[in-house]
Amino acid sequence: MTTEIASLIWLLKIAGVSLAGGIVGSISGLGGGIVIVPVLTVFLGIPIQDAIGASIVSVIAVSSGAGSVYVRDRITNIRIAMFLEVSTAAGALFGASFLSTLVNPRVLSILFGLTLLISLASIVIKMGEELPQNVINDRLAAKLRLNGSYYDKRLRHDVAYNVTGIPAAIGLMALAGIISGLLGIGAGVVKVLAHEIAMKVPMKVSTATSNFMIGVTAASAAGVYLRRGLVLPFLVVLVAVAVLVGAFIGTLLMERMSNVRVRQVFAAALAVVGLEMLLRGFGLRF
Amino acid sequence: MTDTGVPQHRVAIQDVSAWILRIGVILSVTVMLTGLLVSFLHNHVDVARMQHSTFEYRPSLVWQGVRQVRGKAIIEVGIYLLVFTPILRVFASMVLFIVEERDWFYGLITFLVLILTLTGLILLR
Repeated sequence: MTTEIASLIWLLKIAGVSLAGGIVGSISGLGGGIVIVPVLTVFLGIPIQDAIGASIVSVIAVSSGAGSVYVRDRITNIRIAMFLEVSTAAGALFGASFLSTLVNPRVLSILFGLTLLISLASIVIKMGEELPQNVINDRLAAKLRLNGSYYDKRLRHDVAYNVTGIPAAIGLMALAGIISGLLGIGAGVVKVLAHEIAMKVPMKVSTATSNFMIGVTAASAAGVYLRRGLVLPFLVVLVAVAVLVGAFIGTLLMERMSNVRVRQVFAAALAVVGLEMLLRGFGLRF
Repeated sequence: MTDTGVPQHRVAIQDVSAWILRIGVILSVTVMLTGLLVSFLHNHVDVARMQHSTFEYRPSLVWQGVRQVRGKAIIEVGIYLLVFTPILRVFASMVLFIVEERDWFYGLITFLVLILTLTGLILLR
């Protein structure tokens, strides 16, 4: 086999994986790294650091690409995003700069994986719920005008929603930041959990708002990878382009899905991330 | 306008954000693909080289490469454009929160996000 053909096959495999990552990432609000990193490392033999570097760039691409659609269609709640992004960004800086030498990443991976798998239960309990009922704005939410509404293309009507549990959400977002600073992952999964469990916003608003936030967190983390030379240009182009196409397909699907279906996609992704973290903690190379 | 309780504004932050994200993504991908094309025209497609070719961090080197029409350098410019897209979006929201909505609290919040993000991007390790 000539090097040209071998190279093209390599490129096609990466493009396929990235396309899938973009679709899953834009629906679940997690970015796409959850699909891309394990497949690149385990099946395509790309070193973990290079895969994570490509994944960070892909998170920015998915967040921006899908974000442009969700924000235009008013599914993203930008007040929630901006308000909570402060604690995520602060947590990420703190995690990466002060805690990274104190914490064993493998122990952290195991704890994080277990926490995610346990929190899966709280998602499963409300699996069939299309829209949250009887949510009353808490004091902070009312003061900050975090409540909102969006037009649901599936239900074919406007959905107005209230927001609660802001103090808990602030804590969870800081935790999301710290974890992303320590483990080098987007931690979008904690953001969606905070929206879903603490704040009780509709599922589509949860994933769209998380999607919007992870791009900023990833951009902040990208500097480290760019400086260390861990971002491979050729790998990244392919991943970025394919993931974007996937992200646009994902937005088309997500806006027409029920909230229940979006939650199912998220729950599946949550289970995968939880297992990945556990396995990584126990020493598997991904 | 679906933001309940917020009066109608001439320029909606959502629309500006959506446009910045869209333009940023399209621009960066176009630049990256141009770089890919250039390097394919200059060299043979070689998987071994692509798997190990790393990012050149220093902007001065990148710019030098662009002037020499080196594919990799052009790709790197595209990556920079992509990384700065969400940051530009945060900056634009900050300006609009203050100028359009006269909402100093959210302007301040967004300013904090911007500072923390840039600190991470520039200073971390």
